[in-house]
Amino acid sequence: MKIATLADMCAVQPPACRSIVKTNTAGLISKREVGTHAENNSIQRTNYGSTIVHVSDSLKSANGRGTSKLPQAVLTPLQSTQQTRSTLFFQAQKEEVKKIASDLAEAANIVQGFDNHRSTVVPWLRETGIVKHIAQLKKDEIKAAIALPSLDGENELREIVDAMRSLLKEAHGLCFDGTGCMLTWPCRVVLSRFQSSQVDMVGKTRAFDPYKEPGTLKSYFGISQRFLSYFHRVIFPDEYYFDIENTDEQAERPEDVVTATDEQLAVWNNIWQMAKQEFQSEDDEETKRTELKTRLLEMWMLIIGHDTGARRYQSPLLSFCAMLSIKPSTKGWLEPGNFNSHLSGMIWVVQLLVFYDSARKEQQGRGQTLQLVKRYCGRYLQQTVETPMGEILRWRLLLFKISKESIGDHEASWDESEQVLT
Amino acid sequence: MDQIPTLLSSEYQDCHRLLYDDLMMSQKTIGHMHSWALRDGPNVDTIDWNFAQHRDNIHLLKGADTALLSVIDRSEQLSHVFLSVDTRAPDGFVWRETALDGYEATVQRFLQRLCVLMHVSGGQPVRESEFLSSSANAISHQVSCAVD
Repeated sequence: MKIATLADMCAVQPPACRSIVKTNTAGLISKREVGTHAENNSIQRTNYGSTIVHVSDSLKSANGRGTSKLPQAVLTPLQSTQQTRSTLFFQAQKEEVKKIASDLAEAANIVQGFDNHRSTVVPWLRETGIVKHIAQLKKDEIKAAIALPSLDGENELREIVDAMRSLLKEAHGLCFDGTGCMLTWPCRVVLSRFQSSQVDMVGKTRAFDPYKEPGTLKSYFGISQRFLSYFHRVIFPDEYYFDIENTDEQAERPEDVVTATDEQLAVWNNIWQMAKQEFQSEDDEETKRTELKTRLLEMWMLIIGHDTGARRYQSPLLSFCAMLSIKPSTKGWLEPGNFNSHLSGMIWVVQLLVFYDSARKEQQGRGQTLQLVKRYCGRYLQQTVETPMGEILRWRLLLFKISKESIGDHEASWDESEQVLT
Repeated sequence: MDQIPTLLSSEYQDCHRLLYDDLMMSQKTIGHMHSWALRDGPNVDTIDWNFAQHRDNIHLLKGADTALLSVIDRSEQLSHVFLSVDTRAPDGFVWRETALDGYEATVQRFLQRLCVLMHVSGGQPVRESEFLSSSANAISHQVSCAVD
């Protein structure tokens, strides 16, 4: 059972037992009947930890200061004022209690680090640097930053995101048997060869699998679209997106850490300007859509090929993946296995885009798909290289290991009335 | 091993006394809590959720957040123990620091006892990592509930 606040732990008896105060028309407590226990002047000792407070002594000293609330036949004006003031004090305290509840809710909305106690450390979140990257951010802002563009407003972004889906569909269309198929078996193997060739000799590589269920495809496409939304909202603008509380130590916001390259920003600006243009004729709109897709593919290649060196979080892609680690429904951390499925989605989309980029180059007579894929994957899609995808692949390996060993924290229960199936 | 039930029983009595006599100030207006009446949601993952927020418990716990304040407000003696007059304060009263410190110390003692009781009665040996993590939760909770 989770531990509640002590005040929560006491149930209150029915109102008949406790309503001993009367209110006047203004709603303030004007007169009270004090329980008979208050009239008992025998010495009572209340032991609060190491401090022993003599209640009767307190009474005497308080009486000396004129704060007596002992029952009197007639209340003097001074005593009446004192009572009103003490009532006001308790009213204010009750307001404060309500405020504390809302403050706690606000505090729960902020991503906390592991500074409280060493038992709070989650090793994989520390190892991946995720907790450091998103600490102090507000969870609802994170959720809004990585959401797909809404139906009202953000029209241009929605157009870009639609173009992205269309681009991925085109790429996916080239993966299947038929006259237009360009994805060969060797190409599939090369796309998935994340390790050194020695491991490959043992036959551990699972070739890139283009066959996915419609629901999976939608969520995989969605991840790439959400990345573009994140880039547009957080990385592209000059001003800060995330609002953090001012603390004594200067916290680094993701916007300070992530450094998009000039090429990435230039291409995104190009895409953005293009999306803003409106054309009357269908043909012009179609041309614009085609051009958007070309630019988007170019953008993705720049993102994947981002040379971050030792500073991994300079990559917008990695920053986005870190944002995925918060579970919106509970505002807690995502389970390692579920977080890993997001990473798998991202890796799959990147594989598809790398293949598509190479296939387009072959269509344009600029090389052979397999050779191009091989060169690109060798440089950027390896677990041993310092690139965004290298990092994501390493995270996935780590999380595979963790999720295999972790045990679910939910409890299995049996409904006695046999009505609920869990 | 034979003495474990005795240990549990005496720990329980100590906890009971600390909670109802010292922390709840022996007040008759505050009802005793019964585990059979309250519902818990062990599978709820939401941050900062506890059983007090369970919808089936809301009617039982209504007004509980300010119950102690009401008790102090109503009781002559407790008001004198916990409040002192301060003309600089807007309402003319402030909390008496020594009484609050004493109360907080009792809260700590109660949580320590409760922690042991929970782990021992669970039937498994106390493991360091679990034990320390629940202590940390209790301490951080204590800070949040002692703000008033």
